[in-house]
Formats: sequence, structure tokens, C-alpha cells
Amino acid sequence: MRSLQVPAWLSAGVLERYLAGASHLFLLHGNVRDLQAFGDEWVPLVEGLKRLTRRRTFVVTYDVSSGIGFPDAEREKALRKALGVKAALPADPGRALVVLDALLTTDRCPAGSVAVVIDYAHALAPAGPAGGSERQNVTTLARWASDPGIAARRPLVFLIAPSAQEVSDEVYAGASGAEVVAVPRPDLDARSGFARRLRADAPETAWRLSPEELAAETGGLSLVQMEDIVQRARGAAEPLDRAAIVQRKVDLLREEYGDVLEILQPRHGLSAVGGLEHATRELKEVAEIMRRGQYAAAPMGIILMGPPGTGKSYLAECFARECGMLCVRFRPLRQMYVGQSERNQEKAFAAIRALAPVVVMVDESDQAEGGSRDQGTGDSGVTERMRGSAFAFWGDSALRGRVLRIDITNRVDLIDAAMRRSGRTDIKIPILMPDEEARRQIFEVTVRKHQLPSAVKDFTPFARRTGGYTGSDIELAVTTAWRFALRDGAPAMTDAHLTAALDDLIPTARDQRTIDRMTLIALDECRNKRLLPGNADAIRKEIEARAEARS
Amino acid sequence: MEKETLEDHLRRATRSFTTRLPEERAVSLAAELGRELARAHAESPPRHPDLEPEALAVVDGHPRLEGTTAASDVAEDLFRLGGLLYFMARGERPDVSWRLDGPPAGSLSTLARQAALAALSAPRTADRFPGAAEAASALEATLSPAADGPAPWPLFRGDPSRRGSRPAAVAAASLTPLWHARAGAVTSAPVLTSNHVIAASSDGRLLFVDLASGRRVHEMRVASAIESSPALAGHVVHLGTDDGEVVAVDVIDGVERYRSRVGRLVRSSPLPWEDRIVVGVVDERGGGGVVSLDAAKGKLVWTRKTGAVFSSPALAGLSRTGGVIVIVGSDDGSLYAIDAARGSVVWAEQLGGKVRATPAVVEDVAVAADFAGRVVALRIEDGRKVWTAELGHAVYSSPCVAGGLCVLGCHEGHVHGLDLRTGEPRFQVQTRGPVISSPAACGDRFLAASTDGALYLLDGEGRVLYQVLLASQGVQSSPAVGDGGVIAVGSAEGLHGLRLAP
Repeated sequence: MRSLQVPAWLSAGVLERYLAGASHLFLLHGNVRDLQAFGDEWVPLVEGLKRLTRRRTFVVTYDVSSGIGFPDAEREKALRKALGVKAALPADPGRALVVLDALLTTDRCPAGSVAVVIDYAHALAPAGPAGGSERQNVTTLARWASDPGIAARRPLVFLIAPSAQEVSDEVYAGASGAEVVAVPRPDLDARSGFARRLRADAPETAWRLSPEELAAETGGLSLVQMEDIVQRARGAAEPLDRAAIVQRKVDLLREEYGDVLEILQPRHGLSAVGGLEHATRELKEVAEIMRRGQYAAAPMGIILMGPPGTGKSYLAECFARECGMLCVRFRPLRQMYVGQSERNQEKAFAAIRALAPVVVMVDESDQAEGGSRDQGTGDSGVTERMRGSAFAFWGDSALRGRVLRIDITNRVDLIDAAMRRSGRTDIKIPILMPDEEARRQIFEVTVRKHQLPSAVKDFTPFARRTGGYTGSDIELAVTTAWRFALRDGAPAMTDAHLTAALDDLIPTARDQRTIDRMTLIALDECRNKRLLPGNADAIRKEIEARAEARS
Repeated sequence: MEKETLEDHLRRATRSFTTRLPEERAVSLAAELGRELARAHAESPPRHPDLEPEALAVVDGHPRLEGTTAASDVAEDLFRLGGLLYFMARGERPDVSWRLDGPPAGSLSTLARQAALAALSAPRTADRFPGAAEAASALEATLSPAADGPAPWPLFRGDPSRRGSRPAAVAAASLTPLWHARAGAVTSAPVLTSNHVIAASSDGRLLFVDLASGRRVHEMRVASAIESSPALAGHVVHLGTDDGEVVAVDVIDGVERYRSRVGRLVRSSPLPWEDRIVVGVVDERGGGGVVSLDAAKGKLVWTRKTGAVFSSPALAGLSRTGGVIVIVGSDDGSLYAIDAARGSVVWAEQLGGKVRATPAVVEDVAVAADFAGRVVALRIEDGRKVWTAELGHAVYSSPCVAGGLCVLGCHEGHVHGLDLRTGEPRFQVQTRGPVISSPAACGDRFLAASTDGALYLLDGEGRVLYQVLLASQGVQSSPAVGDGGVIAVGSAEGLHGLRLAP
């Protein structure tokens, strides 16, 4: 019966625990300003909770701005009668909490008859140093959570806040009757159901895609945001198509998470990668697993390692596109002020959880997360705390298949060993300087990728003369050649243009010794033969020969 | 073959929901759906069909479950089936408040059906039926209420003669706990129907608990406090309250039949006799007596002042005149024999201390005990003493008679065994708290509970064969003995179900 439907997080996170007698005070945080499916309808959270508690004799809502409220006059009468209150009910937090406290502790209410919903709990009991009245609120709420006398009366108390971190942890930490419950973003099923409703509600809009496709394209968005997308199309009398949805989605997510995560929009799949056959083979397989949602088989993390300019970031983006998952870049979060970076990291993690399923790129990860354990810093343990929380987050196996971390690094040895071990990272692929054959493929793929008209039949001679060039060098050469062609008014780029471009190009200056070192580190870190490039042994020998020559 | 959706079927059967589907039909459809669900769950992989009325197929009047919905499991299917049963029987859709507080009380017309609904749609998955087949059986059982056998322990002390004993097929040597229903303190003794335990909680609720599982089937607030044991006559349970009322409740539909105020307190357990009940009453300042009410409406038939009566009346026959009397103890220190029909005193015999224990009638004698520690056997015919035994400590516990013995507890924590013919002491067992509870017998084994919180299993020689700690807060309630050695007893922590084992 659909009319009995409640959100999954509510049944599992709240109701089972309340009914088992384990907890009676729940701090709901996360996606709390969204619509939720209660029965046949999608309603705001507080309204849904009112429906849930409809059969309780005493139901009271409270928030700092509107004061004490009731679902109906009958509930108000019941409270006034039970507490003997005739005067107007107080709105200021201190005195309002006294009324609610009386309701929770009086013997006049039979066990299991009281429900209290407090919205904007962070305004009532904020985290951090609090003034006198706020202290009092914190203490009152903490007592509600831990007093066995209150627990025995079986009330149901909800506190609602956008983020649990904004509510003083004294309220819930260590309290036997309290539980912090994250309200997640809607999953595919929830979005599909809502999309069908939206379609039924907006029949005049031209739907260029099915509700199921709309749901699939809106991963990471809340239902309110989905509604906004459809309403905009309706308001502008424009058709609702995939491109518009994806653009709007990225805009919305940037607005929301732009300060801690970079939302990427990869345009190419793995077929647009030249060379790197050992890597693309493996990544295509993983992408297939992710697309099918076979979460148990999905890796927790992937490390792409090797010297700079070898196309690691590009490879990761193409992989994200291939998976059909949202792709974000996790920004290095060390800020000048201690505490700020810690909060940002928590915010980023919360965002990643909310956006799942998602591919998270951690670029130059040896710089992120406060660096390695070995580099001691004098920041009073913040780094250590952030490290701990990062390990806990990335090691959470509940995220397997839903959050895929891709590390991109040229010094894999600088990533903390604990993060590198299997369980947090399952696949480590060395991405090295391209050999001649790989360079030939890079030429071809670059031309194809940018859809450049080309009269060049065979790239082999160019591949031969570009020893020591990286993929990005080659890409630059090809695009320069096209510019030369345009300048000449030629319909297509020719061998002459490409030769001229290569003559013109000064490849990125590199210290061969550093590159060799990075290459060896990457090769040593790799744990699977199938993930080594085919010429790994040859590369190793070359490097050894160079080292010998130097000494 | 006629195929339609369940919604269309209901629309047709109820003339577009202007009438209700007969409840029988709704329950039988739900039972069929339960069977269908059991089949779907048994498939490999298990199937969880869509239980929406507009998606459900009905073929020739019988529901068919087809297809599957991904987001469900056995417990969730049962919850939805409960919602569907409600929708079919009531014509309105259930709402999300069920997830917190379950189906509303009084949704269906009988307690058994309401209980089945409650066990389908219990908010907590652990409280639901273990599977769809069990749910279907329970629903089917509510369609033929005649299947209920006679109640094995319908009254306080088990029967109108208040002997506190039942025959047993095999001699028990141990006790196996079956369940514990945390229903709040239960001071009075429970009674048993073939399927349920009916008990009154100290805070005034009447509880109906499933005898096999201990699951709470129904509860209703009856008074501010209750110490009187319920008495079952037919399908109506009568009990006294601390508000001075006698209340009768129909055990089939849970509806209150009457409520009559007869005094200050009614602690005595009513005795059903013909179309009346007889019960002791306590009034202000030690006054009180015995009253008889008509069992249908609760109207007063007669009243007899005797001083406060806590004891419950025992039924006995006079061989000389063929008359029927009730024997009851009073706080004035006497045992009274009162004509059950007219309320006149046939004889009264002074014992000494207050007589709050309920007398037991066996053949031509009644055994009674008082607060002075005296146990007396009197001739039913004229009240003449046959024997007297002095225990030395106050007795509240009512004597249990079986196997040629009279067994009862005292405030010193002893359980005494006396020879029923002579009153000679046969054994004495020490417990760690006063024994207020009245012992019960199953064959020649005795069950005695103490305020030390334990239930003791004794043999005829007073050997403790087994003991189980029920509640650290103590046991005052007396055990009730059901078929197959099932025992139910109240405690400060709720109701307990146990089974006697060889």
C-alpha cells in the first residue's frame, strides 16, 4: 500500500531504533529541506513527521522564529489541559523549552503519547562556545536525551538541523537515548517516483525524455531541485531535454558545493584516450561494473601514478564519463585558519556522501589531506584529526561502489601508506611516458577528439621524432599544426603543417632524473602484472642504463 | 474465467464504496492473499508482488499475486497486507501513522481479527508474524471462532470450587520459560482461555496476550488500579477494580458490557454462577460484604453485609437441601456460607484473624486460612470444624488442594504442605520473601511463587524440583495452569509464560 510509504532512512534509521526502545531523540540532518515521500504524497519533512505522529495525543512543533505550534487545535487543547496552561504559550527558547520539558516529564501523559518536533535546532543549541541562555538549552536537550525517566515515557523527539556539526554535540554525544540520523539525497527509486509525479503535474511541457531518464540524469540533486528544473522548463515554455537538465544540474551543484568541490563535466569517454592500453582495458571493465551497479565487485579506489603530463587527469575524467557517474574534484583543503580547513573537509565529505554515486578525483593527492604522516606540522593536532577523519571516510565500505576515489599523483610514495593499502585503494595503475607506438596513437586520437580535418596518412614518422614528449606536448603540437593550416587557408592539416609545428615546439623542460625517479616509484608501487604497461621491463632497463651513464 | 483488479472487485462488491465489504469477506480475501504471498516468498528467488489494490488481480473472486516489486521483503509485505486488509474491510486507505503506532484499535470487529491485523502491521518488524503462511493461518482461524475449546483456567484458582489444581498427564520435573510480555506490573492472577492469557495490570489495564507467543493482542484501560483477578463466563470477562466497580468486557470484540459501582474497592475475584456473578466488596471503615449482580447488565440482585471481603467466593452444594452456597472469608474474622440464590447467611464460623485467603472446596469440606496463621477445614453442610492447624504466621495465600494435600504460603516465606484429611504438617519449604501468591497444582506437582521473585516447582514431599527467577521485584500474582502444562503468571515486570517439562 503506497499510502503506508515512509522514506527508507526513516524506517531504518529512526523507527526501528525507536520501536526497539533504543533511542527516543533523533537529530535529523543533511537533506532536511527537501520533499519526502510520506504516503502518496511528497511533503516537507516537518509536515511528514506530523503525519507520522498523527495518532499521538500530544504533538508539538517548535522553532525559534515561530514558537510553539500544533498540527491542529485538538493537540493544543490536549497540551493546555495536561499542563494546566491558560495563558499564551511562550515563544522565546528558554521558556518554550520549559513548557516542552514539562510535557516530557509529566505523569499526565500516558507512555508513548508525546511527540515533539524542533526545527532549526542549531539556532537553539549551536555548536561552539555558547552564551548563558544557549547553555541552558543545550543542557535541557541533553537531559531529554539521557534521562531514563523521560526515556521510560516513550516520547518521540525530533531535532532538525542542516548539519549535525552545527548543533552542540553535548546534546547527542554519549547520550543513551539520542541518535544522529543523516537524511540522504533521494536515490534513483525516489527520483523516479517523483519524476513520474512531475510529469503528471506538467502535462503541457514537452518531455523529450522519460521520467526514468530524468531521474537517471539528476543523481545528486534533491527533489526540490528536480522540481525547479521542470518548473523552469515549464515557465519558459521550453522542452525538457537532457542537455538542459545536465547544465542546470551542474549549475545547482556548483552553487551548493562549489566552495569545497569542483563539479566536472567530462565530455569524452575512454575511447578518446590514446595509448595507455593497459589502463583503459582495466578502467573499461571497472566502468562496466559501475554502470551495472554491481557494488560488491566495485573497487574502493584507484590510483593513477606516474610523471606529470602523461594524461592521468584526462584519463580519470574519461573514465568518469564512461561510468556514467557524476565526477567531482576534491580540492586541497588546507586553509590559513585552523578549524576552517577541518570544517571544509567535513563539508566536502558530507557533500560526497550526498552526491553518491560519484567519482571523486583527488588531484596531486600528495598535497591534499595535510600531506604525509612523516611531515610533522605544528598545527596542534588538526592535521592528525583531519587525517583520521579522512581515513574513516575513505575506508567506509558502505560507500563501496557508490563513491569511487581516483588519486592522481606523480609521487605515490608521498601518499600515506594507510591510504594506499588495499581496502581504501584496490587498483594502482602506472601511467608512464608514452613510447613510440603510444605516441602514434596519441596523434591519432587527438585529431579524432578535436575533429580536426587531417590529410596526414601516417603518424609513425612524427611519433619517432617525438621521443621524450608527453601526451600534452603532442596535443599542443597537433592543435598548433591545425592553426598553421588555418593560416594557410588549407582545408586540412598536412604533414608539412605538423612538421612545422613540431619544429616550432619546445617540449616542456624536464629533469630526466626526476622523471626516471617518478617512473620507478610508480612501477614499484604497482601490484598487478596486468596493470603494468607492456614495455615496463624495457623502460626499467632504459632508466638503469641512464643512471649508469650518469654515475 | 473472470479477471479484474482488486480495486474494481471492491468497487463492484461495495457499489463504488458506498457500502462496506463484509468483514468476513475482507478477512477471507486477506487470508487467501497470505497464502499467495507464502507461495511467492517460497519461490527462488523470492517474489515480492505489488500489493496495490489497482495492481492486484482477482480471478473468479480469488486474488492472484503476479509480478514483483523490488523494494520489499517478507516483513514489509506483511505490513502492506495488513494495510490492504484494513482498506478492504474499512473502505479507507491506511496512513503513515501506522509506521509509528500500528493499526488503530477497533479497526476490526473481533479481538482475534484485530490481533491478526496488529501482528501483520506491527510497526516493529520483530513483532510481526514470522512469515506469510503463519499470517494466513491466523487470519483463517479468525473466520471460524467456534474452533476455540473450553477455557482451561477461566477463574481465579481455576474453577468455582477454588481448588487451584488441574490434572496432569505426566509428572513435571522442570520449568521452561516460553515468553515474557513486558506489560507493566501485574498483581492479580491471570486466567486462561484456549488461546489467550487475560490479566489485569496493577495500573488498571485489561491485557489480552497470545498464550503461545506472549504477543500482546489487545489492551484496554478499565480503571485506575486493579488487584482483582478477572473471571471468564462464556465470552464475557468480569473483574473488580480499585475504583469500587465491577466491569464486564466481551472477549470477542473487546467491548465493555457493563460497569457497576458496588463499593469502595473490589479486590475479590467474581464468581460466575448461572446468569449471575457473586463478588466480595470492601466499603469505608472496614465495612463491606458480598453482592450478586446479574451477569448481563450488572444490576444488583442481592447484597449481604459481612464486613470487608477481600476473599473470593467459592461455590459449594448442600447435599441436605440441594441448595447452592458461596463460601467466603471476611475481615471480621469469620467464614460465611451464603445462599447463592437469595443472599441469606446459611452459617458463619469464627476463625480469629482476618480471612483474606479464598477458601478451597473439596468434597464435603472447605479449607480456609486467616491472618492469625490458622488453617481450618470446615464441613460445608454446617460449618463445623473438621481440623485446625496453627502455622504461626499470617496467611494471605489461598490454599491449593490436590493429591491429598493442602498447600499454601505464609508471610514468613514458607510454603506449607498439610494433610488434607487431618491437617497434619507434611512439609515446609522456605523461600526468601513472604508468600502472598496462591500455589497451584498440576497433577501432584505444586507451583508456588514468592515475593523473592522466583517460581518454585515442588513435589508432594516438599522437595524443590526446579525454580525460575521471574522478576527481581517479586511475584504476588498466582500461577494459572493451562493445557499441556502451560503456566502463566504475573509479576512486577509483566506477564510470564512457562511450560512444565518432565
